[in-house]
Parts: sequence; C-alpha cells; structure tokens
Amino acid sequence: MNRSYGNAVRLALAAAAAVLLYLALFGEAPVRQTKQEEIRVQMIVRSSQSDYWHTVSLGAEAAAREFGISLNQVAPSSEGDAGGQLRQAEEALLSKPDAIVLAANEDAAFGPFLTDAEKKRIPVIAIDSLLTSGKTETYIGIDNELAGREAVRQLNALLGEKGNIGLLAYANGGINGKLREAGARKAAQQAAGLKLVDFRTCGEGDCEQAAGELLDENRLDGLVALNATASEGAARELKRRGIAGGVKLVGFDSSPELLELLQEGYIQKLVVQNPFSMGYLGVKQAIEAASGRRLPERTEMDTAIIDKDNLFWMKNQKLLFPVVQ
Amino acid sequence: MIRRRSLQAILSAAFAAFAVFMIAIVSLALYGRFTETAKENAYRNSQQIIDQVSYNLEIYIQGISDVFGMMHHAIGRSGGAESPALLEQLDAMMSTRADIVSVALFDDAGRLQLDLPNVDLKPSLRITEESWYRSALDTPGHLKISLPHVQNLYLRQYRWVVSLSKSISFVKNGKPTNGVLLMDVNFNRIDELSNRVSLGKKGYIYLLDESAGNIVYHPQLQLIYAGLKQENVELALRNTYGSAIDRTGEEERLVSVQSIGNVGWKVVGVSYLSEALTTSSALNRSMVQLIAAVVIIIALLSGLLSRRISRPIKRLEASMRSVERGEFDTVANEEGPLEIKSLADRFNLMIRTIKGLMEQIVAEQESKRKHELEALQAQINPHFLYNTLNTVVRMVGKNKNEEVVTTITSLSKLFRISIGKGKSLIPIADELEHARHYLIIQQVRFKNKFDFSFDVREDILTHLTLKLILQPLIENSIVHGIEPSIDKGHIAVSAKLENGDIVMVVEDNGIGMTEERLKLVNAGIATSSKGSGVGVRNVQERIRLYFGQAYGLSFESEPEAGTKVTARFPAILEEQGQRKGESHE
Repeated sequence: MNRSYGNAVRLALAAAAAVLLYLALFGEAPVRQTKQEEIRVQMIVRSSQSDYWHTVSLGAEAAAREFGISLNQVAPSSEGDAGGQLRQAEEALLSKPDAIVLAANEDAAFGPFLTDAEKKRIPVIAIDSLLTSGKTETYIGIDNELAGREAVRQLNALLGEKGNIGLLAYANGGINGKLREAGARKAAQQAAGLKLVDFRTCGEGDCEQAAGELLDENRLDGLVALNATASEGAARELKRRGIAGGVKLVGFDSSPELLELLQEGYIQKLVVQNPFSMGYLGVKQAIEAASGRRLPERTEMDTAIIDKDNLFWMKNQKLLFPVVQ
Repeated sequence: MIRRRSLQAILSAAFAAFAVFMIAIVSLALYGRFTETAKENAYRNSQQIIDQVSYNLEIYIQGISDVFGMMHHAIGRSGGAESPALLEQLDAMMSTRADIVSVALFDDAGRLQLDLPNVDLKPSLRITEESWYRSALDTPGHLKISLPHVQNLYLRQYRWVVSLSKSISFVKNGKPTNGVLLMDVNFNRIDELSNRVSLGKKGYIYLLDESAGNIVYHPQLQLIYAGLKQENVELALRNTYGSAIDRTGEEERLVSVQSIGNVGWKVVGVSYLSEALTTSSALNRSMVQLIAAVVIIIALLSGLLSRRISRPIKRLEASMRSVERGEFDTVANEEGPLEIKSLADRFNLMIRTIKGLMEQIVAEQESKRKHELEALQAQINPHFLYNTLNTVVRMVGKNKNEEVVTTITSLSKLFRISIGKGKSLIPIADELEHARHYLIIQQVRFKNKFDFSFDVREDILTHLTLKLILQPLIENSIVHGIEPSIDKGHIAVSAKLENGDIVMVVEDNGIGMTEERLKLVNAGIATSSKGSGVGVRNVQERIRLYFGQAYGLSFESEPEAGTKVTARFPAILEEQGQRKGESHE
C-alpha cells in the first residue's frame, strides 16, 4: 500500500519533471493576455454630424488604439434628439459594456438610464455635458457656465465695454446650453456698459433666420452665439448682410466653416474646447473605471479664445486641427 | 541529542544541493552574458533601424527636393507661367507623387500665378504677410523646408503639410519676374517610412526639429499636440548620434538618435528595454523550469541511488538483528555493490565461525559430562566392589578383623569422596585421601604385594584438582605394572607446585613398557584389555577438556624398571575453583 503510494508519487514527480523539461526546452513564452483587451467601452455622443463630435471620436479612437480595447460609438444624427439618444443608450446597455462614455443631450431624461447602469455596475463617464440626474463616475469637460461668461467678457472687451448685445442659443442645447446661457446672462449683468437686449433660440436650419430677426428687431452692437450651429447661423447671416465687424460676434467651437468666417472677419472670437482630448480622456478614464481604479471626481478642460490673429499660432493649430493619421 | 539522518537522506540532499548549485552557477553566468549581449544587440538594432529610417527619409526629402527642383526648373525655363504646356508638364510631375498636395506660384506682389490642383484660395488671404513667402524672397536661391503646419491658403482647407518654398525667376506676360514657388507635401510618406520599421511591439520612431525641438512627426502626433503625451526631447536634442537610456518615464527606454542631413531633423527611435530583454526573461523562465526539472530528476535519481546503496545495508542490518535474536542459521543476502557484498561475506563467515564454536562448546560440555559419568561409573565398578567385598569376606573367615575394619572404612570413604558433592573440582587433599583409601583397599586385596608412599607438599593441599585423576593412574600401575611383576612392588604418589602448575606423579617399579608401547600410550591410542576399562584415557581427556591441550598426562617407562605417569594442570585455589566449577556446571 505504502509502496505503491510511493511509486505513484515518484511517477508523478517524473511526469512533472518531463513536462518542465519540455517547457524549458521547447515551450513558448505564454502570451501575456492584457486585461484591457477584453474591455469593451461604449461611447454615446450627442451627434454624429458635427466636426466637434467627429474630433471627439478621433480622440476616443486614439485611446482605443493605444490601450487596445474595443470601442463602440453611437450617436443620434442631431444634438437635439434626446429621445433617440436615450434609446441608443438603453440598447447599448443591453450589450453589457464594461464602461460607458456618455455625452448626454438631456439631463433629467437620462435619470432612469443611469440608475439602470448603476444597478448593472457599469460605470458611466460623463463627457462634455454634466449629468446631475444620476450617478456618474466622473465628468470630463469644460465649465460651461464659465465659458458662457467668458464669451460675454470677450464681447465686452471687443465693444469697449459698452453696447447692446444679443444672445443666440441652440434650442436643444441641453445641459450645456442652459449653463452657458446662465453664465452669459450673469456676465452681461455684471458688465456695467453692456445691455442684453434680446435672446433667441434656434435649431438646425433656422439659426440664420433667428439671427436675422435679432438683428432686425434690435440695434445690436454685439452678438454671442452659444454653440457651433448658432455661431455658424449668426456668422452666415452677418456675411449675407455683408457686415463684417459692424456687429461683433463671439461664437462657440470650431469647424472649417467657422474658422473661415473668422478669417473673413464675420466672427471676432471663438470659444473653443478641446474635443480630441475630451474623447481621449473619456475612453482612458472609462478603461480605468472598468479596471476598478478610482477616478478624479471631475476633469476640467480648458477653453481657448481664438481670433484671427492667433489662429495660426502653433499652439492653436495643434488644438484646432487634429492630425488625422 | 543529534538526530541522525539516514544515509539515503544525506546522499539525496547532497546530490540535490550539488546539482542545484552547479545549475545556478551556470545559469547565472549564462544569464549575465545573455543579458549583456541582448542589451548590446538592442542598442545596435535600434541604432541600425534609426540609421536606416534616417537614410530613407533623407532620400525621400532629396527626392521631393528633386521634384521641386524639376518644377522650379520647368517654370523658370518656360515661356510663360500661364502656358498650358507648362501646366501639363507640372501636372504630370505631380501625378507621379501621391504625397504632393499642392503646388502654387506667386509673383513678387503675392498674386497667384499658377495653382495645382486648381482650388480657390481663401479670400481673406494676404500672401505677402505669410512668413514662408517673405523668407523665400529674402533669401533667394535657398530652398526652405518648413515644419509641419496647417496650410492657410485654400478655401475651407486646413491641412497639415510640410511646405517647400524657394524664390524663383519666371516669365510673366513676356517679362521676367521674381516670385515664390510653394509646394506642400503631406505626411503620408513620412508616416509610412517611420511606421514600417518596428522597434519591438511598443517602440516607435518620431522626428524632431533640431533647431527648436519641435516634434515634426510622431505616431501619436495629435496626443502630443493636445498635450496628452510628452516626449523627452531634451535627451534626443543633446545627442547628435547614438543611443542613450531614458530613465525619466515609468519604464526604461532606449532612445536612439540620428540626424537627417538635408532638413535639420532628427530621427529618434524609442524602444523599450524590457521588450529587448524579453528573450532574456523567457530564458529566465526556461532556466527556472530547467532547474526545477533537474532538481526533481536529481531527487528521484539520488533517491534511487541511495536506496540502492542503503537497501543492502538495511538488509544486512535485518540479518544482524535476526542473529541477535539467536537465529544463527541466518544468511545475509550478498546482493548489492562490491563493498556490501564483501561485508555480507565477512558477516556470513563470522556467523559460521560463531556457529561452529557454539557447536564445539556444546560438544565439549557433552563429552565432559560423559567422561565424568564414565569416571564415576568406574568407581562403582561392580567388579571392583565384588573383588573388594570378596576379599573382606575372606578376611572375615580368617578373623582378620582389624584389616576388615580398615578395608570397609576405606571403601566407605572412597565412595564418599568419589561421590563428593557432585562437583568436578575437589581439593587436592580430598583427591589424595581418595587415592590413599584406594591404595589401602588394593593393598589388602593383593595381600601386601606392594607398598606405597605419598610425597605431598603441604602448600598445595588447598588447591583444586579434577576428581578421580589419581585412582585410574594407580589402578593402571597396579594392573599393568605391579600385578604381572614377581617382585614386591612400590607405588609412589607425589604432588607439587611447579611453575604455577600442579604436578601429580604416580610412579611404580613394575614391569614397565616397551618403547613401542610407550609411544602408543603417549599418542593416546593404546588400548588395554584389563582394568576397569575407563582408565587413563578418560583422565587424559578430562584434563584436556577442562584445562586445554597444553595440559594432560605424560608417560615415562622402561621395561623391568617401572612406569612414571605425570599429570599436569594449572594450579587453582579453592575460591577460583568454585567459580570455575560453577561456570562449568
């Protein structure tokens, strides 16, 4: 009994030795399976159409490539489409990604979605738009209220701290739009020489019209447009009327068209964000969250003020024109 | 107390320790050499790749410059900038290169003269304010290759390009004019050339502008531009050529630098040392496995080996244990190595000897008892008793009462002494007393045909002797010496101490023996037809059994002169004798 037991042990040892020898002489180094390869990140942004979101997507892809994860991106065709986005988000949740990067079009509507994600233990990274209706891991984006104030301050400086100004906002601006508007209003109040005489909202296609109405109904010295669509509409309207510099325009974000209009003098200043970094950091932090690491509560992105003169500064070239590789 | 380890364990441990030690030494030496070589190879490889990339880029830039030069030449030679033949020619040149984005010619007033492909310029553009335009006019004949920048020429196009610009003289409307030729080149080829080589899985190549330290090209250019990634350009700028280790990051990185001559750029290769040394870490792993395997094998082998050595020893031990228990028939197994076999042989030999000796002892004891019994029986020989009693009866008939009393008394004492206390050894005094009574009885029987004398030293009386030694000798003298003689005989009995031995002598003056007979007697092979039949040989054997071959009887005799029998044995005092006697019981 004892003897056969000893023999079995010896046999097992001999087998182990043989296996070890084989591994040592012919064995391939085990390919290290990085955990991140298995990570799936779902990215839901506000629109599939604009340059801004295109750049965000580029940043996200750069991060996905760098960390070797699988990234899935969905977006509604318009920033105004909160319902469509929510449906897409809920659909995405069914595929159980490891983390979600969300730039929401609406705050309150995403409450149930956030609760659902939390229940499924899927971390949600809010980018661009701060979400207050549920739990998110972190927020990456600019302080929109501050950006709104900054826009008005820039206009104030352009106007020599005196004049009547109008405010053109995007109708479905969501959280960001509200915050920017609030900031702009506050700054307008604070500036003694400025008077906010009119406020309009517009959507895709009718921003030129809204801007025209603003200009027709008021004697405006300056105009603040609170997002890219509004800025484009206002600048086009100014260009159509041929008033370059007559009414100062401070806009938001950048696109080739906006920059062109800036260079042509229809826009004086643009408040631009850093969408590439936002997309990159969103995915990066999503990976970290999926790996169980703690994230900073908030990653504040800076805004840059672009005008005709500093547009081709190297720093701004790098910011405004993402290199596509 | 020190715990003894088994031979097997000691051997196994020693073998294993030795093997591990050797392997570790060899492995460490190999590993050190290997790591060093791997590092050197990494340096060399990296540098070679960088050199190659640098060379390729140099050729590429040279090629682009050549194309630029050809266009420059074609425009300079042509009759007019607006001639369709020139356009065609330039278009053909451009179509051979996918990396040329656009070509544009401006006159000295900044007006566009020629534009390929034909795209609208920005309306807001003021060419004369552009830095490339001004520097080309300021340094005529010099080809300027710009850093990557966003081209600010064309409507709604903001592309990253590298611009080549040079002043040019051309014919415009039949008049020679000065101007600037501009060619924009995209990154595609640079990207391709830099990406095609691999510096390990994670390694990469980037290009650096030597003058300002700007990154010209990087596989993650946008991340660098967005400030999400940093590159340690200081290190690359410091070296014009060669490799250095960058320890500023989380991982050690090998930075190799080579300059590209014609543009003032540097090719910087970044590779990760950990990757270059993965082979050595694989080797490491292999080595650990190898050591483990060898240790197991050594353990098995040494177990086997030491079992082969210690098993025969254990078997031998088992044999010894059974001998301890008294099983002298045990035979040790002689299988095993030579040493063990000879050990077993010796052991078996020893056991055989012991066994023989023991058998001998048993035989001796048995013969001792037999002889004693025989001697005893000789005393109570019925023939002797009959003769004696017959003599007594005759004497009673002749009214020789005194002699009867003497005879009976002697007879009774004779028996008392010979029975003794059942001991083999008795005091010499008792033996002499026994002999005296025997002589008295025989004297009576043989009607004083002989007389006798005792010559005994007082100091030996307390020594011990085997019982019934003198009586057979005396009987022998009477039967063979006195009785056949016609003369009156004499028997002299003496006992003395001589050189630590007791020497007892019975001497008669009877008929003696012939020389031949004496020889036979001394050799112990003479037989006698007369007497009690126990006799002299019994005495001889008993003395030798008790005291050894050195002792015993010796005979001297001459025909018609008599015979002298000497018994010699060691002197033993009474206390010693008791012990010796007991040990023989």
